[in-house]
Amino acid sequence: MKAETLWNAIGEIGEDLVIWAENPPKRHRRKNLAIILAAAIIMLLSVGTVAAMRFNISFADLFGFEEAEIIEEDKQIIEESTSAEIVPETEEKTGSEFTVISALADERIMYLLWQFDYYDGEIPKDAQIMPWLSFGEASIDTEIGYYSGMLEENRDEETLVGYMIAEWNGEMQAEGGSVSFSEVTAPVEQDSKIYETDILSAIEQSEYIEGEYEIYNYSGKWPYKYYAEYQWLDIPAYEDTYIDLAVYEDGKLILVTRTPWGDGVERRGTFELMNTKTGETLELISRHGFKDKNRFDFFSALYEVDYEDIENLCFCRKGEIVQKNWLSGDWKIDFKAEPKMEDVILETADENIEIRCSKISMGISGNLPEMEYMQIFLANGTEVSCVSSTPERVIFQKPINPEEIASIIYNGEELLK
Amino acid sequence: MEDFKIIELYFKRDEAAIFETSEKYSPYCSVIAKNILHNALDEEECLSDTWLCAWNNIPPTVPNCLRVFLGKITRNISLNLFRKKNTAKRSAVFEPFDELLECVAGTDSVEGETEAKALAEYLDGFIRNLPEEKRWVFLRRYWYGESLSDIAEKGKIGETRVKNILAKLRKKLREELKKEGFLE
Repeated sequence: MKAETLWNAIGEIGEDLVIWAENPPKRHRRKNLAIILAAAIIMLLSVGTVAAMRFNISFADLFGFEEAEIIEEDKQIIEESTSAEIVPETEEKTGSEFTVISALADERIMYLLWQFDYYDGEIPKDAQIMPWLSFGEASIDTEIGYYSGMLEENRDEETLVGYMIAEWNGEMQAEGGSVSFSEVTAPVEQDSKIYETDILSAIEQSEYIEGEYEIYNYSGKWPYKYYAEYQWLDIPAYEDTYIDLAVYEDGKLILVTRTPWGDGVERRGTFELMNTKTGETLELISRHGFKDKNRFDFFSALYEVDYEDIENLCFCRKGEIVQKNWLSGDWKIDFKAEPKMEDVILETADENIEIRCSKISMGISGNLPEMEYMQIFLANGTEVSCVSSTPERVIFQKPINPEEIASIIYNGEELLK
Repeated sequence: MEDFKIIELYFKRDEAAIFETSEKYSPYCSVIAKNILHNALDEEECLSDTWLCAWNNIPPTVPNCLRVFLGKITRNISLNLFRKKNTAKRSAVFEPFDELLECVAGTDSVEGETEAKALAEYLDGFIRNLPEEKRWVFLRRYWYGESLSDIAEKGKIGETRVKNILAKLRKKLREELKKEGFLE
């Protein structure tokens, strides 16, 4: 076939398609957010003017603005920093690309947006990236560290988008930082596994000294005795977990298991008792657990089972969905952002209290009682979601317009005039 | 003037039809011509040929949508003109057309009127079944012949993304055409 044949055939498609394509498809945006943020963008940052069109995702995509409403100079664009497997500009890209799209920053925090593009196929559904943020030697032990999340509504099969919110100081601002990650994870279903478990033998070997207490499960229906002292058994249960004690009384089976913790061993999955003869798992009636100073997790679990079925019992791990490595690499971007976003001073009811607020965070100073709770409301009645709330540093989950703040309730008292 | 009145003028063989068509649809058609030709004189020539072609075809043709009818003519005339004028210039390329070569390169097929119609019908379905954004990008590139940067700007999406969407769609289209027996 000639390309001309294909070109001509495309020319013959339905007229409705051609008319439809005259205007770009509308994006599905959260309109309420658009209203709140349309004003907010007006006075954002005032730094770089690197064309945002270069990036796949714009602030418009992320926060629901129409592109025309964004003033280019208002955006702080991180220098053209990408971490990619380089390909010639004119050719189709391959591999992947990690880009820090932009940042909003004030004196208290930095709100950074990143984008990951994958060119060799489709990114699996629910894939996740958890980037690290580092300011090198300038890093400090901040109260919040940093927050990281994915903007789920902006993902598609080729692109992942996320944000990082970091508390920072002057030194970190001067030094600049880096964002990096080494893997993209995606959900996979684990194989089911059956573990050989000799519970009958555990019951026979268990020696215990009956304590004087009785404890009850949540419903109070199945009182069982507290075994204060006993000899540890080392009968394998599953993975690195052992049966310490097994007791059978009145149709009830009590298993005490021991798992080392804090050793970096990854333990995933839900472990259940299964009757291998019937293939059914036993209902867990009650479960209690505690950590002891010897760095073990102890669990006592109560099941109802006929004695003759005990020989058929073993532990099993049912297949479950876990995040596993999907793509490995070394993605790192160094960046520098400036705290250009200015604070607005909000008018307070008490003149000894000062509230400074930007689009992304707020600081309250003055003689305030210890905080029990705080709520911030916009003029339209919407409560502002925060990722962190202390009087010194309130961090908004998404940018807002401080002019829109109508009420700040602090321990039940209104702080604004 | 409304389209049906313009078409009436064509049927009356009133030359005012050409003037009215040109008045109303020059901006629309010149964008398509410009996308392909990138030369003001050629664009002008192409538009003149478009109005003449419309004059020769209406009647008997009664366009459902005059705008698309004219756009289609402009699109075809522009490509022919481009190829005619650039046969000798190896460096001159119309990228969207060259990209379509990827879909058909190294293949053979029987080409006739029936096959062309079936192909157009198949492509109609292929395009309709694409997700909105991809469908729009495909049509802007291969129907309107638009540049990557223009698509990116109009669609408020990155140029890289446009490029990658198109590359994947071409690959998909080639596979589908093979599967459906349009390519051998």
